[in-house]
Amino acid sequence: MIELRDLIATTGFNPIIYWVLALFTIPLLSFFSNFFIKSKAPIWATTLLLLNTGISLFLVYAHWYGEAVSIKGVWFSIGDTVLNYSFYLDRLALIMLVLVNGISFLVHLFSIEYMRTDRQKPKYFAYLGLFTFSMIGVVLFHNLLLMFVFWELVGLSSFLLIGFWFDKKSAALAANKAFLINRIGDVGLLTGLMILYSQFQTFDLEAIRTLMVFSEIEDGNWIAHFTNNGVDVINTLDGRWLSAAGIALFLGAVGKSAQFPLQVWLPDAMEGPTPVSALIHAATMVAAGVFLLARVFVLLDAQALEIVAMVGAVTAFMAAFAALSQLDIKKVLAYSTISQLGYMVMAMGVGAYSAGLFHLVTHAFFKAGLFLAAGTIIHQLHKLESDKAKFNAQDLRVMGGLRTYMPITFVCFVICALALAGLPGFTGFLSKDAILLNATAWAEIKGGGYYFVPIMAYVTVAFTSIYIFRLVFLVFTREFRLPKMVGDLDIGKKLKEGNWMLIGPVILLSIMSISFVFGANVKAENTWFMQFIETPISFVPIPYAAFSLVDLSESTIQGLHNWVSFVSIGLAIGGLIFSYFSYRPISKKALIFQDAPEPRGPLGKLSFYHFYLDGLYEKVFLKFILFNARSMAWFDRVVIDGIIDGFAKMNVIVAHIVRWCDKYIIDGFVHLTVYTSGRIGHATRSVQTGNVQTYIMSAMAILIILLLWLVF
Amino acid sequence: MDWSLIIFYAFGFIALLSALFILFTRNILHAAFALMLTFLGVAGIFIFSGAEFVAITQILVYVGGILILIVFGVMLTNKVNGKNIVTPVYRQGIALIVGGGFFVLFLKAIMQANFGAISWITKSTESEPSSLRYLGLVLMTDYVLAFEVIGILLLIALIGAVYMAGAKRKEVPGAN
Amino acid sequence: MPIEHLLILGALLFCIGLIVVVTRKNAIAVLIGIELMLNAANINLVVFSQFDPNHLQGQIFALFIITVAAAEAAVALAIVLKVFHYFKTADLDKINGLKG
Repeated sequence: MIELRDLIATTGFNPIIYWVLALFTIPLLSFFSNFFIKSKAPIWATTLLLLNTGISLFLVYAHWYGEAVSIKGVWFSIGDTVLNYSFYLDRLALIMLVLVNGISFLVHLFSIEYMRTDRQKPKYFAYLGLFTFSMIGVVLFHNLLLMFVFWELVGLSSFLLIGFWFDKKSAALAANKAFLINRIGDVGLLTGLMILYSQFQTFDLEAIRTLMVFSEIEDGNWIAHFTNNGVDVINTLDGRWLSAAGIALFLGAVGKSAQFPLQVWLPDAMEGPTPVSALIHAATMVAAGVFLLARVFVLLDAQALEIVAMVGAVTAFMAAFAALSQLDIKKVLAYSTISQLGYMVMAMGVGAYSAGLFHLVTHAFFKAGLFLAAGTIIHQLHKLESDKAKFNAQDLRVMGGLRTYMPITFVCFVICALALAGLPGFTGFLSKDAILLNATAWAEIKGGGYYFVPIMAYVTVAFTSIYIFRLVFLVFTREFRLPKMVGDLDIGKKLKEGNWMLIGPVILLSIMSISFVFGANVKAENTWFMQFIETPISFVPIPYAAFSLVDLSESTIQGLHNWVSFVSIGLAIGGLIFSYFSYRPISKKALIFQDAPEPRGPLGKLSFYHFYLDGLYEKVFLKFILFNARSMAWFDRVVIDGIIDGFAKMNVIVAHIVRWCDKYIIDGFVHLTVYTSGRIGHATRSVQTGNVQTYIMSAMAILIILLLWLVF
Repeated sequence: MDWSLIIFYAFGFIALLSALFILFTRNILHAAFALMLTFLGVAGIFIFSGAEFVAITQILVYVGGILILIVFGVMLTNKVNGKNIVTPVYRQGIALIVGGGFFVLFLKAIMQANFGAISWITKSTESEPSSLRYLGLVLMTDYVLAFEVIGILLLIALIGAVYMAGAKRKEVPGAN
Repeated sequence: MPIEHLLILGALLFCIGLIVVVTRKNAIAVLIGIELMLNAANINLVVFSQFDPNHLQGQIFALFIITVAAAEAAVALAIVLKVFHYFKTADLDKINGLKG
């Protein structure tokens, strides 16, 4: 019988703990110190992050070939319950560390120049430090509850950074939206946590994994049998709770990684500064959801995984469709992110654990590259703004022909775009290829309606290619449209490449998007990534476990593989040609693009307004909730305050009655007494007639009476 | 026939009848004159009681002084124009009751008193006749204090009366 | 004459005098009544004095009473005259400044 206490026992001392603590402390130090250092904040923050990146690279170097390191200790104990904390440094964690720290460092560097004129710079770099700190926490901790704590912190940092320019009302609202929708997902995560805890009495992921393996399904009941501190524990739940736990945990990922139906916050999150979008909403935070899925992958049963795959596919399709008609460069990239995240989630759902994670890593680099390149463009265009010329620097309509002004940016952008579209020679192709292969194999095995998933995936490939090259053509080819729209514009020498702090990160990231990084071979499974990161086998008890794709025979894979690759490459190139003909320099669309209005046709509108999701949510949920809130407020104001006012009024009335009583009854008594005394006095006064004879008479009368009484 | 007793009673009746006349008459002057008759009657009773000096003093002072004063008062406070000075009488009922009560009281007292028990009352005829000389003697020795005080009283009364009724002072606004 | 008769006479005179005082409206008439009462008292005194060995105490008292009555009549008249000046009437009903 497994003893729980053994599973979560404190490990011995390991010097690696120092490095781990350093990884935490440095960004946290950046957060706190940047509030006090005013002028040197950017450089100080960037240096710290460079340090952190160095540490994470070192850790990779030292521990890549070794066993995963696990450090546990006691967090706190209440009575008999002991909660522990644990760090887990396996290869996945190491890669994530490099990714997070590296991209964070590049974003810091970029921000030095990008935010140079902003007065709130120190606060910005502090928030960036806070974000990095929270993200590292999510990556390193292997305890579900602690992960949740840092998960929330990540959400908080996102809120702070999206709403950084909070004077702008739309930015503040977008930050609120992001946080609230994140919260909805977090409820799911918390529920999943609690289900697992009630079954296994611990939050530690390693322990849960072990206990899950040893749990059984009997007659539709999920039974966990172990001993806790010597006490025999048998926890029985209905089998459906197993799926429920998986779905609940997935909900957390849905919220954080912007999957359907909670993807509406990501486009709005573009209100934040572009480096923030690059860091958080392209590379790291949104990847946290996928990372969570990876960590709990072995706990998800077949039903949950099916739902994961469906949701991923649908999201990928919807977002790619929406990206086709957007007019803001950042919005296109935002929808693109949602779509690619859909791919990663879908990969997890079909069981392609390593493929999904591979895509996460490649996507992080080329998407960050795309965002930072867009940032450079926006930054340079802002320089053209003056009192006489006002325009929206993010609008596609004002751009065009920037190839001549910013050639380096153009080249980098194209490289990253090719990676995104999934064309061979670039990293995107490798990871996307792996996902598509696995999805097709999955659908083949399951058959029938499950083909929905890969078909969605393929269509999305086409859309991806179309929208990204549309972007390329509209921004960089033909002629610069802005002078035609805004008169009195003096370009001169002003529109040129940004300085090395802007361009350097972009170049670095685009280099990372070329396929040689991951291996010389074109085929995905030969990359070092896929070889080192292996898909684990599900630990869920047999009747509920999903089948594993790992079991597929080699030949099946090979046959499928060639076919899949041909189709995806064909679609990608098809999309490229389509957008070329639509948006190339001399096409009709390009000519009039500066006057292009928002789409009017039904399909166009559906795309532009993102399937009217925002409107739907507003009508269905917001109106109801706000109505509720207003009715509560009305109730409080009218009924409850009414009751209190009624009390008060009653009190006043009672007071009036008392006063009346006092005035008429009590004072009445007094008056009565006075009156009676007066009357008596008046009566007795009449004795004093002033007439002497009556006095004499009265005296004599009394005398007589006296004497009569004496004598008789 | 004891003539002295009859005259005694006659004087008594005169006094009584005059008093009744005073009571029932409306005319003040008639009342004043009836008063004089009363005084005379009383004086007669005094003589028959052996108090000759008191009787004479009574006539001198009362009739000769006080009665004149009363008549002067009447004349000074009423317009004398030949008509009768008539003042009404009222409140008779209750006055009769009060007076009657008093009389009944006195009557009771007198009837109940057993004058035979007082030793010195029975020796009426054995006493000395009063003499004026003895009166003066006693006045100057036994009752000299009262005598002097009376003198002072008379002085005060004289001064007071003269002062009040005499010199014209500033007219005080009257109630009428 | 038996003493009781004289005493009864005195009592009668006194009561009559009282009634005169109380029933008359004119101030002088009241004075008359008062004199009547005083006389009644005198009769009483003198009647009892005849039994005195020296016939004296009652008589002397009676003398004093007469004197005092004279003084009092003089002063009373002076007052009446003054009141008559002030109130312009000798009607006792009208002289009611003491009315409270």
